[in-house]
Amino acid sequence: MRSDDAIRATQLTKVYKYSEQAPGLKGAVKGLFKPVRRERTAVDAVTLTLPKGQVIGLLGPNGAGKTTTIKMLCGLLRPTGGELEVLGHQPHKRSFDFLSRISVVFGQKSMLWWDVSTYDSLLIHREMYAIPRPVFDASVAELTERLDVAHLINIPVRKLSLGQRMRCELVLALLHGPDLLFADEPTVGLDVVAKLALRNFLAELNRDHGTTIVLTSHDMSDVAALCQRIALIDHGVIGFDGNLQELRQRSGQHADADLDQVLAAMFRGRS
Amino acid sequence: MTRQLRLLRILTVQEVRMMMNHRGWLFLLQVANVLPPAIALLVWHGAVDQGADPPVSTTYLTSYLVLVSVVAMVTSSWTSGFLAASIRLGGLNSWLVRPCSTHLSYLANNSAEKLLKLGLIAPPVVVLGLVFRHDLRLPGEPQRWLHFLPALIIAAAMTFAFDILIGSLAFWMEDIAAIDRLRYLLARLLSGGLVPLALFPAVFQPFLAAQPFRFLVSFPLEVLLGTTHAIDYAYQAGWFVVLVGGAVLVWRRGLRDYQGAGA
Amino acid sequence: MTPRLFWACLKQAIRRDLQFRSQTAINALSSIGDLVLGVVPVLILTGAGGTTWTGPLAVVVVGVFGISTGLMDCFVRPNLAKMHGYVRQGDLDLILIRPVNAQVFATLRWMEPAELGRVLSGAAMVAVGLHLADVRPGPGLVLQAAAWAAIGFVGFSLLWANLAYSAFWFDSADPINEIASQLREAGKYPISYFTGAARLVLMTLAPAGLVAAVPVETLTGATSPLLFAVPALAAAMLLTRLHWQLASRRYSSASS
Repeated sequence: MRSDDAIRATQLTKVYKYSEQAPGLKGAVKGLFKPVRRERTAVDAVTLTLPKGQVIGLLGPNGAGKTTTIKMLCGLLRPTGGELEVLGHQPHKRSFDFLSRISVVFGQKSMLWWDVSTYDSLLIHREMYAIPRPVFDASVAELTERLDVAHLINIPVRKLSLGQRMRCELVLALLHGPDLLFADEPTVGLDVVAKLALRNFLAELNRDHGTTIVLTSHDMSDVAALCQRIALIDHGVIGFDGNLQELRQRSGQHADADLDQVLAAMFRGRS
Repeated sequence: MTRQLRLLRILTVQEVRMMMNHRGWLFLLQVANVLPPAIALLVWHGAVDQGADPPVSTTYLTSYLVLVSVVAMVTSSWTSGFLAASIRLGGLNSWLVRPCSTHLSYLANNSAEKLLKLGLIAPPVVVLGLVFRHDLRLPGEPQRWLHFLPALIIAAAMTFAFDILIGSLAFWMEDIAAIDRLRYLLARLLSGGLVPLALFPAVFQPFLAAQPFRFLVSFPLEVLLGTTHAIDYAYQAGWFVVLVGGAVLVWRRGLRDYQGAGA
Repeated sequence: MTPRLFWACLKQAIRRDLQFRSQTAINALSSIGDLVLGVVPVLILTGAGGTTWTGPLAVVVVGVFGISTGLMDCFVRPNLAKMHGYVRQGDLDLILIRPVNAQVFATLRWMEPAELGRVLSGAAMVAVGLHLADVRPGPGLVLQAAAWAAIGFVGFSLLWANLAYSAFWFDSADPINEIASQLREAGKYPISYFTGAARLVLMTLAPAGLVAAVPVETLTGATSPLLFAVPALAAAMLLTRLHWQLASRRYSSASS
């Protein structure tokens, strides 16, 4: 693996095993003794290489394998096949070195502790990632200034608006200076102003710190604004990998069609 | 290791601060916890006054029932439900992507809750002790208390492990509430939390002495009141290994099969 | 609250329970398990001797306790347990705007039919206990015992309601329901095991003793005078009504 690759996946595969159960008590009892085992391939031999410093948008309809891919990349799921190296580690081993070089922002899930201020959560992350005091102070100063939350970090998180909270989530997620950021629907539910601020911040982060970013979003304007590269996942395989212009050409839509129309054309005909 | 300890300390302090917001709520809960042994004290004293002949002395019975709510509180755990919900709804994900075990946060949560509740349960227990002061005999030898403390901490660790064991079943099961309720039902009777095990008929005693629930509440009190035998420590060690080992095994297995719930 | 409204609420609750069958079955089973295991401490107590109470009679007490608390947990408790949420989250507005007696509606709206499993198992315990104790009460005694049980049921429900209304006055009064439920457990023991002040409290202020112990004493022929109980109960009802009015007035003036 070239040392300037952040992610390298070869034939990455995830097969879910589950047992089917007929409805009712009878089904439950039957399933206990004679379970009907089924398999579903969520990610099918995906090969993907991401150089350091790139911003990639992973797009796909619900249930296409997008979430499963992300979860394997950040170590939540163990692949059933293929090879995967992220920052030189096998993610599912979740070593301290790996976990302290990545970060994840879930738009729908808070990492901040609810009943205390953001600063209290930051103090916990300082211990968690073993961040030296001067580095911590500098990092907090820089992030709160860039995200304009200096006046918010001493207020209990439950009292913040969604837009304010998302910015505080980012301070927490980036405190330890990760090399690789997974942002899963980070702008979901945000108003236009908050969305733009967040987008600008991610662009700056990539420009100034060279942070590699893997973004998933259903908001096509996010993707268009941020991602140099777009990968479309459908039925567990990557159907397209390239930049925005190539995507437009491939879809066969006219030049001023918006991105939603372009994507709809790409996914049309899927069951 | 130092990182984990420092993390545990700061997490615990944080939990205490968050729980302080609910201290009134926690206090009323402690009053409710003291009621069952208080009722048991009343009826047993009534029975003895009217000539009943229980298999243990009145002072043993009184000391046991006055202290049992404290021991039951310290050795309790409320982790199984939270853990199961976090596995099912995907809250666990936010822990798995950070270099900190989710169990450390539950441990902090439990320790904080114990620290706070210890202060809150003290007043009602002291009142109970004063009402029955004539029959209350707390052991004077410091040695007994020195033995009591580790027994208490081991009991708390065993309950915590039991909780992780049951909560981890959520890796495979939709709903662990039924199993949890069954466990609580058995524990209430067999742990000695409601009735001292010594009061049960003699035929059941060998069974009661060997079953695991005894070591979750009754055993530390037996150590304190000086009614244990050497063999009991072997039972305790055995069940400790079973519960802690079981929890570690089930958790590791579950994490491997984990399908990362939630979008 | 008309009987038809009550019937509609009950039908809705049963339909809901039938939707979540396995959950309902678990709730019913653990409710029964609670009762069956609950007899153990009482049997151990009567086994130690000292009073005229025998094991079989104690089983009858636990059985009556099971019937009464099963009914209470089906019809009364779910609502009182919700009172805190009604007040703190402003859901009471949705009740106050209905054209029915708000207090009665708020006390009987929610039901947990699964708890009725305890009524059946309690009845079985009563039958077995009476048979083993060789007690065959005449219809007059049965009637009196039923009257006492009804007084105990209503009396304790009123106490619980007043405790639950504390949500109007205090912020974190939620565990008051747990306190009421633990207090009620005292009713599982024959009342004569309680002495002095405790017995007085359990017969009057917190009438857990009237739920099961006094009715069973009545079955065995040791009747207690009903004469004082009825006016006392009427007074308690009046006070509860007054408490509700004061509390809901405070609520509406606070939320507007």
